Amino acid sequence: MQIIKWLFPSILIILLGSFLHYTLPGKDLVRVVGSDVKRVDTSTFWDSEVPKNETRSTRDVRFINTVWPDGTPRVFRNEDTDWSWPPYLKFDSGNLQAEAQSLISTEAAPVWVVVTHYGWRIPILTLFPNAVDIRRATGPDELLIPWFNIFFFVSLGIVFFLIGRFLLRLKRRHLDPTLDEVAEAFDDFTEAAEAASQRTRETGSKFSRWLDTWRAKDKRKK
Amino acid sequence: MLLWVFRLVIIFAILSVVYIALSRYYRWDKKKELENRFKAAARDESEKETFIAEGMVGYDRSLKKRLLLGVFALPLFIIFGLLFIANFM
Repeated sequence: MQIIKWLFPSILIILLGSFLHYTLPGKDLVRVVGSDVKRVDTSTFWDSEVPKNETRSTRDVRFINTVWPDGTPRVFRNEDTDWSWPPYLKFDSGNLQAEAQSLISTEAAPVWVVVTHYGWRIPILTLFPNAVDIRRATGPDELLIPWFNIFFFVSLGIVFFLIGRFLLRLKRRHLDPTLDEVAEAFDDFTEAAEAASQRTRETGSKFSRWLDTWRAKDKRKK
Repeated sequence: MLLWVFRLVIIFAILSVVYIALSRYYRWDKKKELENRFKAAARDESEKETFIAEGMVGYDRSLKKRLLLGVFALPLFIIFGLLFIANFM
């Protein structure tokens, strides 16, 4: 039974957390190795960025192939979000592709870049993160501080704090006194009921007193 | 582009509703507090109106009432802060 109490809030937090993790920008420090354009069938998930007035069964997707400093591959797609969700208002995927291509480097003479992106890489669902921005990094070990995410979460925290504080105020000033009054009225009622039942125990119920009136005077119980 | 103006207007409308509701609530709450203080002090009934009116004037000038405008200011600050960080940093 206790499980149900924390099950619902936990699920809510997990859903909200994963939604934010997908939608908020992240930065990767990688080396660009190449770029691609592939024709992809429109899937139900990450083609929500297809413009609404077009219904297509396939579309072209630009890819930016990169590797991490340790050599593991990291592939981004590079698509416009246009006006739809997430609200990155990204229209410059063409320009971004050109920038990425100009930063292609080899392992011998690496050029490290910071790729701002959102989304997840899930190979089994063919999901790729969407690259939003590329810039040169100062080196393979530059410290990347996610200012946007910090500001976002601090604001969210402040808003939740203010709302929570207001709701607690409402509860304290209006709900609790009413509940106290109800509890008090209930206690008074219980007290009166107990006193009445005590009296009945002493004198006997009305029915048994009436029965008594039918007994002979010397056989009466009261 | 027009779509974003439209959205901004909707946000502003919602914030206005929130502001009006909160403003009314806090005024009502302050009035109740003044009434209770009046009853506790057990003063003359004829002085009640003036006492409450004076109390409300004090509230109108208070910081608390002006802070309520933060209902507009905070979301705007957050939105423009995010836009600034996303585009100029």
